[in-house]
Amino acid sequence: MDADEINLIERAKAGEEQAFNEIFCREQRNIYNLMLQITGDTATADDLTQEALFQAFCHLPDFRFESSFRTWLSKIAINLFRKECRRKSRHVSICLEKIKIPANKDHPERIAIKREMQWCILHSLEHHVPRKYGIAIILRDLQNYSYKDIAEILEWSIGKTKTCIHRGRQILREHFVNGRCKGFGSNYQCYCEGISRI
Amino acid sequence: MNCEETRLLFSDFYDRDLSEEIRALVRQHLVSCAECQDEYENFKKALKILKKFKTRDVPRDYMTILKKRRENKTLRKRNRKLSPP
Repeated sequence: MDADEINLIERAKAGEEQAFNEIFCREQRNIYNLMLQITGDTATADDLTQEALFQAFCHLPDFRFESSFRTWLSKIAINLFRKECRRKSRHVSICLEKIKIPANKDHPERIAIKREMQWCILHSLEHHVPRKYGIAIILRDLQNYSYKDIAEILEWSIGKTKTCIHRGRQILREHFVNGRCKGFGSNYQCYCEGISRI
Repeated sequence: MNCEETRLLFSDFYDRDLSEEIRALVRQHLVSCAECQDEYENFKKALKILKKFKTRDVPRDYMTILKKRRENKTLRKRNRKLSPP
């Protein structure tokens, strides 16, 4: 963590409004996107982001500078997500079905979503990679966290973190190869198309 | 290094998380084995697909919501202090 960030957090902890706003404001987009990547659902991501920021505010006096503020905030958000998963059945609360994709296969919006692969990436991570591996991959390959930070966020050992990311990546690769994903060639024929509920 | 050992190291190789010595062994195997080379290319492609994920803007300003919740919390605290035991 750099000296500026430490200074900013110290000031926020001391109650300085401007410092508080600055540190939280610059993290809100990142936390929202992390939650969106993990849940695949905008409404759930919205709820979890609100709650994570509030929890971070409540526990700011406990922040000990043992990790970066972003890592600490991500840990809070992921713990909230895990709690939410335990509370509700996974398929009721967190499901890609909730992403509003037009049913008509020729609908321009649906074509655009799939072309950009947003849907495909989230769908693959949600439905074709075991959840714990999926979260670790999101933190590593979408959020660019170090193994050390991921281990801190997920409360795993570095060894477990590495193993889970490796396994998850292998599963993802197999999924894209077997599904003949368009990222691998011009003949797009992802088998998700057949089994998805959209 | 055989095919199985090499494939188990793909993730660490991709992350450059191997010693120079082991990295050289993986590279050496990849050069001599077309099948593993192909596997590694696919592995890289799968991870490149993830890089295409575009982040989104926040749907609303969370700072406004946070401010309201903070004020409510402060208010509740104050009311608790004022109310008789």
